[in-house]
Amino acid sequence: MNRWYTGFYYVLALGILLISWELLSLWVNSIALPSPRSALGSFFELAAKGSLRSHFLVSAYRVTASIALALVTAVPLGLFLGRVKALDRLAVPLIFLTYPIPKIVFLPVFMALFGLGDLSKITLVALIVFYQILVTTWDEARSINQQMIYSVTSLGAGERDIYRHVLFPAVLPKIFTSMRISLGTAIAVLFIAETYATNVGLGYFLIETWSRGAYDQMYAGIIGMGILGFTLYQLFSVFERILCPWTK
Amino acid sequence: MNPLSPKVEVNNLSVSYRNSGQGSVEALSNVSLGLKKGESCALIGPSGCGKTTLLYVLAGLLKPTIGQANIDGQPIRPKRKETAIILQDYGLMPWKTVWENTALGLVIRKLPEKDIEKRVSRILAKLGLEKLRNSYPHQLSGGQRQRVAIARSLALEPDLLLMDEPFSSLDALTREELQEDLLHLWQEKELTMVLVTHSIEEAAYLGQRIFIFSKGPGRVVAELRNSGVGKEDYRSSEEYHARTDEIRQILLKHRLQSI
Repeated sequence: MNRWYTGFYYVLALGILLISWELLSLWVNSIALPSPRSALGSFFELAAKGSLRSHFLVSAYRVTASIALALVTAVPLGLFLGRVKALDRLAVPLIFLTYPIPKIVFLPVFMALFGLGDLSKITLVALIVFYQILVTTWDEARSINQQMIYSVTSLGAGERDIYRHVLFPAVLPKIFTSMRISLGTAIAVLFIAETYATNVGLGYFLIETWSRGAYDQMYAGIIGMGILGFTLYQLFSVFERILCPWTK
Repeated sequence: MNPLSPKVEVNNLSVSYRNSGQGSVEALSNVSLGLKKGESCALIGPSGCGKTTLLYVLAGLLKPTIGQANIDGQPIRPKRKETAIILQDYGLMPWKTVWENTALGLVIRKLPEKDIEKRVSRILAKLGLEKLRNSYPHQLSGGQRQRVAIARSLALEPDLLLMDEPFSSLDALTREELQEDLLHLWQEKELTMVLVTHSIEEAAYLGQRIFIFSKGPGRVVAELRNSGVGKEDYRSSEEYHARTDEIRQILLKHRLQSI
């Protein structure tokens, strides 16, 4: 019953969005804002022809690889810093001096260092997600109750057991939350990175169709970006449900 | 090992905590006590009297600043296999099911999977928890949760069981039920028990030896023998009531209780 209601409201929300879009495009009356019908039409047309697929897949690969890279570096480091409080004195200033820097400014540096290919784009996006996950993991690992550590220590746990049975599961749900939060930023940065020195990816596709004035096609790219974000968001939720069954 | 030598022996033990910037704070001062194998002992006193600190020393989680603590005539080392501890809260992992929590100590000690399976099912059955084996702690009542904590420590087949106010957050009925179960397990398995409590009734019902602690730094101000523990219907006996009165008088005399 409840699921039916939720589904109903999703359809309702989608309807409201499409009608607002339609009305806005009628009111603005510009080729830069086509009606949802023609935008969706061109999306399905390009999707059917397959000309959007490679752009979509490359962008999906880049953002997934970035998040994976950020996870395998930030999670262990965050857990370690959270466990070894003696490092706080150095780690706190290091992180809080570098955290507020808008990482996008390193795009030219990364292109100079890692070339114009995928590597520079992936490392840039990874750097941004890295900070989000690092700070969350670290914070959560620091705030674990000492009694819980005592309790597993008294069962014979060594350092490895503490990481495995206490620290990692304790931070896991927060990691998923920070992944969802940083996803929007990650895709936004990817878009900017893809407008330079590449001829594949949704960012490139958007700018290329825009420069040709092919607004219908540009909107197909925008919809593609939206679907990419939505899919990853849902995937994170599915993984969280499987890996963190105790939170439900 | 000499059967007459004490199971647990604490000699002139003091523990100080380093306090950031302000030197150190003494939590326990010159405490001595000895327990025989199979004895149950209650440590009672006002909060902040260092009784939990003593428990942590016995568990090998804290080192004494001065003095010595021995188990079976050996200085206490961390991770002694036969010592189990039950804490008031936070003892269970919220991300593990009843089964996984109960098995945790055995998994950490890398027992063969078959043995784990056997031991865990046996202990869960004994404590009436089989039906909850796939539940998570947040789905359990307070009493069920402490039951799992007991199951987890008993799965290790300890000879020394340490408890830090294990029943203090439970309602009166559940508390008495669990105290009853604990007494049965204690008699059956010949455990040596050390129980930290701030409840006079609990100390009198469960402790054959009762040590009364002063406010911090904790010292032992009195020691009582309470040999009736474990007798049928002890809770309604005169001996039990005399004991609770005695404890109350001592606490009052030392101004350790505010009534």
